[in-house]
Amino acid sequence: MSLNEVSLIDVVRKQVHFKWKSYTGIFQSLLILQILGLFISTLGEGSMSEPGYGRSISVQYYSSSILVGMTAMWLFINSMLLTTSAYREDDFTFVSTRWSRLLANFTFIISLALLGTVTSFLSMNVLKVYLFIKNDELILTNSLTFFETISSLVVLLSYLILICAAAYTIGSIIQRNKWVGFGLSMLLIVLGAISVDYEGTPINFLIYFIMFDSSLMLLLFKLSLANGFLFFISWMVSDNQEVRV
Amino acid sequence: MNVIAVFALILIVTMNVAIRIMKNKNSSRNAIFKLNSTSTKWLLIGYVAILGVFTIVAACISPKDPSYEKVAAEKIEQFVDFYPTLSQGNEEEVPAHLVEGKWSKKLVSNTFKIVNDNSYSLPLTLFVERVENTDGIMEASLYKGLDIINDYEVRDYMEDIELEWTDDKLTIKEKKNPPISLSFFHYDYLFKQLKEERANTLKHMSSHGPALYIKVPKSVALDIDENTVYVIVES
Repeated sequence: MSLNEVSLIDVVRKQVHFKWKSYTGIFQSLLILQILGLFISTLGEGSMSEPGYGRSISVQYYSSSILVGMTAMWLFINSMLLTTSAYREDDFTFVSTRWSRLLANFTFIISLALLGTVTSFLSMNVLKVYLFIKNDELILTNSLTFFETISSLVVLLSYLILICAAAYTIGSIIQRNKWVGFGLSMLLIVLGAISVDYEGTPINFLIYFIMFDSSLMLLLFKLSLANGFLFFISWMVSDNQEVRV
Repeated sequence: MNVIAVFALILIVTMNVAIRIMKNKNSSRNAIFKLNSTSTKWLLIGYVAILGVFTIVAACISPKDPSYEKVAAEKIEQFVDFYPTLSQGNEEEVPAHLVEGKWSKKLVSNTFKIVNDNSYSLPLTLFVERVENTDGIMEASLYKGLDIINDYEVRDYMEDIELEWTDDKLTIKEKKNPPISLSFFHYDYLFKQLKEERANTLKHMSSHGPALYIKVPKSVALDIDENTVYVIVES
């Protein structure tokens, strides 16, 4: 029996440190996905042309959406994987509780989202450099000021944390009961299909409620609330879960 | 198929094979490389450092003055407004800065011919006003046009049109100019949310073609190509 009293913060810190050191595949996959995203982004997201009278005009469109999408996908998959039994067993090699495991996972996920935000934003500049070299007439349609850049990064980080929270919650539910997880996944697909087909339905209202807010503070409040709610569900689901299967 | 797309596909397949080899412990082939936590840490730091260098390069090579500028809504309105103004014969109400060129010709014969030398329809709107003029002088004004792509004005739009005047004939020609290629880069929705630019204003083209306003004396017979569409101004 140890006489050392270990604080919760120490346990969480050690677990997060362990995750950063041992889950190297997660970071390698980020690099691969973002490089792949850069290649795909160079193809552009659309084009149009106008024959014109004296000359023809061709227009190409490029955006940062693929890079952000790739990062979001990376976060979604890895957040979900953290709830699997293999990762769970790793967590309990430490002197830990379910609460410390959950806190460590949340902290790790948030740090991944932060890494994803920074790298996806910086990698947009690689795309810009390529486009500047390739095209003499590159038009940056919505340049950001310093404050807009910072606030946009905060918004991006919040959205990425929301994606992580959603993935972690879904993963926790699936780990708890595979049938409930399957049913929930089907429900999400059906709801997604409905929301695409019928604009303005109550389902879309929830999405618009968050996504159509141009006030930074209000948006962050809504996203924090949604993140907190999702993490609370995942805590409730995994609270009395078996430590080892 | 685009070379980059092929390269991306090769990259995916290669990575897939590499990951399978690395993960399969029973594989007879050796893993190409294995990265431990220290190597991964340095790989990540190196990656962020490279991205940082690109960020500095992007800031350095981005032009200080954009070659294309957004067109203000007021400017577009001016171009939209001058058509009805001209069709009502109120040429003097059109702002002077919209005039590209003015001509005054003393006609030598009683007939004036306007020829469209284009493979398509006229590249401009032709307004004809018949005036009381005993001197046989014909006056013409060419008004600028505006070609807009995603709120950006296409430069040198007027260079596409060429007018050739002789004593009794006007030939409207199209000049073959080198094609224009534009590329637009925009941040996605997440970056625009706070700027209230949610509506996608991209992928929009509009053209307000130039206009030629001719005052022809009533004593002169006007001979216009039967396929040429023009507007008779009621003065």
